[in-house]
Order: sequence, then C-alpha cells, then structure tokens
Amino acid sequence: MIETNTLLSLIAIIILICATIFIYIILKREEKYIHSKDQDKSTYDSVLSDAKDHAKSLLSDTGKAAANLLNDSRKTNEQIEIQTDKILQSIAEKQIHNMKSATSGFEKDYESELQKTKQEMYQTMQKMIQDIQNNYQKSLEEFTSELSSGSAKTQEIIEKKRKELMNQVEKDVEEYRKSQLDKIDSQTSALVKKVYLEVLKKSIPDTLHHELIVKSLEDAKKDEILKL
Amino acid sequence: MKQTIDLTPLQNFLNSKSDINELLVKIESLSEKIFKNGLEPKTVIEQNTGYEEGKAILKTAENSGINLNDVVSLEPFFQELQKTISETPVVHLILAIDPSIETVKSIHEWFINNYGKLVVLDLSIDESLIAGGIVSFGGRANDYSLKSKLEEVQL
Repeated sequence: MIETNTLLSLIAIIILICATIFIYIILKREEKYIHSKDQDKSTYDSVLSDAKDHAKSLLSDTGKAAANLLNDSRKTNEQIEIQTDKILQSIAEKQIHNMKSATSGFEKDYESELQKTKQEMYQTMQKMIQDIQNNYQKSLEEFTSELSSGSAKTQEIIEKKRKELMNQVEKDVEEYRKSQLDKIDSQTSALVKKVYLEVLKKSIPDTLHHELIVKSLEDAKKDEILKL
Repeated sequence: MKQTIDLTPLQNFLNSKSDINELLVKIESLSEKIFKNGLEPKTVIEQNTGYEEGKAILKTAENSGINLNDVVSLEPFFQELQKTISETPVVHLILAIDPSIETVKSIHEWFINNYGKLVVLDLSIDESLIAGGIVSFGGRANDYSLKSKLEEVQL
C-alpha cells in the first residue's frame, strides 16, 4: 500500500517536472520570437529611410533636368522665330517687287483699253443722234403733209358729230321729262290711293267690320274652304 | 259631324293650339289624381284648376250627364273629353282689326250654328286688309278682305 502511494507521488513529481520544463521551453521560444520581430522592424525602418532619401534625390534631379529642358526649349523657339521672320520678310519683299512690276504693266494696258472704248462709244452715240434726228425730221414732214390735206375733211366730220350730239341731247331731255312726269303721275296716284284707303279704314264702323268678318266666313264656307 | 262632347263651356279656354295642349295636360293630371290616387273628383278639380276653368270642366261633365261621384263613368268621360279636345279643328283667321270679345264669341257661335262644333280660332291681325279677312283651314285659304275686293275692281 505504501509502495503504491510512493509510486504515485513519484509519478506526480515527474509529471510536474515535465510540465515545468515544457512551460520554460515555450516561454523561451516566445522571447526569441519577440526579439527577432524587433530586429526585423529596425531593418524595415532603415530600408524605408534609405528609399525616402533616394526618392528625394530623384525628384530633385528631375526638377533640375526639367528646368534645363524648358530653358533649352525657350532658346530654340526664339531662334526659330527669328529665322521665320527673316524668311517671311524676304518673301514679302519679293512679292512686293513682283506686284509693282505687274501693276505697272496692267495700268498701261488698262489706260489703252479705256481710251479705245471711249472712242467707240463716242462714235456709236454720234451715229444714234444722227439716226434720231433723221427719223424725227421724216415723221414731222409726213405729219405736216397729212394735216394739210385732211383739214377740209376734219371740218365736215366735226360738224356731223355736233349735229348727232345735239339730236341725242334733245332726245335725252325729252325722255327725262316724260319719265319725270310719269313718276309724278304715279306718285300722285299712289298718294291718292293711300289717303283714300286710310279714310276708308277709319270710316268703317265696328258693326260693319263684324258683318264683313262673318261674310268672309260665309264666303269661305261657300267656296268649301271650311270643310270641317 | 257633331262633337261627341259639347265643348261650349270650355270655349274660353280653347283659343289657340297651346291652349289645347295645356288643357290636355291638365285633364291627364286630374285623371291620375282621381283614378290612381283615389281622391274625390270634385275636390281634385276645384283644387287643381282655376275657378272659371274648374267650373267649365264640371259644367261640361254635367252637360254630358256624368255623375261626379260615379268614378266608373267618370273615367271614360275624361278619356272621351281628351279625344274630343285633341280633335278640335283649328281655323286660321287673318283679320283687319283686333276683334272684340263679342266678335270672337259671335264667330264661335257662327261655327256652332253652321257646323255644330266648337273650333279653335288661331287669330292674327293685318291692318292693310282694311276690312274682312283671310280664312284658312286644312291647307286651303282664300282672301275675303276689302283690300282684295278693291284690287279686283281696279283690274
């Protein structure tokens, strides 16, 4: 019994020792891992710092290069402008020279043509005026000739026309007089009739009206208007 | 042909076509109140018509020998009355003067004496006719005025 207990105690002690060793080993490893992490972090920081410095240097170099390029470009442009101006000026001078010589030739041709045209127009106008004068003279002579031969006939025609007009006027006056008399006659007749009817209307007594209404009905019956 | 019901008492209420229509509508309304609603005939007539008009309807019924308390005989009377009124002839007269009441009465009498029936007179005035008038009935007309007689003489 005692041996069994001793054995169990021994096993427990061994297990305890083993557990302690195991925990120790784990803690050691953890410590080692943390240490290595710290080392890595310092390495990264160093690398990042180097990279930053390098980038700064690159940016500075690039800026300088760009400024140099711009400067060079500006200088090149100025040179191009100067050259272009020179070329344009030379072209313009040549053009002006050509124009001057061409204009001088054209002016001479133009003056000559103008002179020619003026002369032709003058001749044409002279001819037209002459033709008109001739035609006018001819027409005037013809008219004068016709007038002198026809004056006797004209007198006769005028006299005839005068008589015709006189007759027509007399006829119209007579017709107008007649129509006016007829009008007065008919107006007088209508007036007399109107007055007569008005007087008649007022002079009919009610009894006669009554009798004439009944007479109308009797006549209507006789004429078979009232077929009730 | 004599009218089956003597309309003489109703003469004053039958002066135009519109009078005929109004009277027919009134009789229809009276019939409905008496025969559908079962109200007392005399009271219905007196309450739903003018004094003279009511009296004229009652007199017409009396002339036809109708007992107002006998609803059985009153119903066919009302039907016959409507028929007689709607068949009343309309005579058109154009007169030279506006006729007096006496003249209108005597015209009605003339029709009753000559044709035995009441007619509706459709009257209008044209003073240019001088006297007499134009008579028109059933699409036929003739001018019997003094104006037309004078024009004939002139021709």
